[in-house]
Amino acid sequence: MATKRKPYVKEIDCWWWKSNPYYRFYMLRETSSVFSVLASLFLLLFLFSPKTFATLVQNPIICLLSFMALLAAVLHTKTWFDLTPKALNLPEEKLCSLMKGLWAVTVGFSVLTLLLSVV
Amino acid sequence: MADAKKLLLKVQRYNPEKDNAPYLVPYEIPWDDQTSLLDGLQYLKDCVCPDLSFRSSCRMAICGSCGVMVNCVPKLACKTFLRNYSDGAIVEPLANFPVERDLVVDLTHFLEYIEALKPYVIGNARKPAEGPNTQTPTELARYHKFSMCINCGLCYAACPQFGLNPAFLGPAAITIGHRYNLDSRDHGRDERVQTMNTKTGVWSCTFVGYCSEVCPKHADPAAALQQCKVESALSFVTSILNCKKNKEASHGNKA
Repeated sequence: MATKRKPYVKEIDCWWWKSNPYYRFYMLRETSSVFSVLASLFLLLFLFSPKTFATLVQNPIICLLSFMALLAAVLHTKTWFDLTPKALNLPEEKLCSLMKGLWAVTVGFSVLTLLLSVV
Repeated sequence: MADAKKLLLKVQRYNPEKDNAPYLVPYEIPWDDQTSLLDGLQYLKDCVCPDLSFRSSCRMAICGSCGVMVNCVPKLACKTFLRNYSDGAIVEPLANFPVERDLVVDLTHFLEYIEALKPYVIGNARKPAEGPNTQTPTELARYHKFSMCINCGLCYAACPQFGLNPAFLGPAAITIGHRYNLDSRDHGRDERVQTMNTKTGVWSCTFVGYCSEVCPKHADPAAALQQCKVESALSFVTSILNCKKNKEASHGNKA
């Protein structure tokens, strides 16, 4: 007897992530890398042409992009540290102290960089 | 029953012999604080539409048969209570799987992937006469969370990567494989990682993380996948170093 099966497969369009807040945050997290790339390219410009860099750095659009890159980097750091305990199969108490240590190092390094840039 | 509170449940129907595409049908369901979604579906089958198809068995979140989408979120129907949906809900079959009929999906891919990752203890030659395999609480703790998986498939319905690429082994299969890799009684890691550490294995995962969010047993498949990625990356580096070492050794022998 011929089969009467006719499985229905729902097509997924490119906006699949819009319907769910969890997917939307995932896309935001992934998009944050675009700003990191732009900021990195801009810093590379300093190596090849410091004069152009000095002129461009005062441009308001570049300032805005740099600020967006900073926000994106903070988001990326936060989500990266959320990932770290998942990637390590360690007992709860060890993970807790490890995460505190990682945050302390990150905050300490950020403050040090900020102080050096002001000086 | 006639005096019971009622809510509107829109249930996706699809009859492959008649329909070209699924469609939603509204039904009124009597409910109280104890009514689960599975009770509601069973009421529909018993009293309203006997041809409604859905899977269920244990009614206590152990068998993993009754997975459905409730308002686009993967849920076990037996563990979902209608008191939380007093404004009504939309019930659809699990996403990312082909729909066979009404709320029944084809889980063939998922079951084949679990089988491919050999979810059993391999290479343990211990005989029953030698007594049980002993295991310390620390050894058990390494994989205990991952052994909670009941193969319900909710994580596959939550995984956009599986939806976009059905060749991806997916969260549950890899979690179960990883569970055995971490088991101190097992010696089958080398057999499993050949399938796991591939492009359609752990490296298809982009850590959306929704699989862990919807897991009804808190097995945390996203954690298993990230741990597998770390192991895969370390294994890649080790293989390169070993290759270099072997080359130097073979040059030394020639000299």
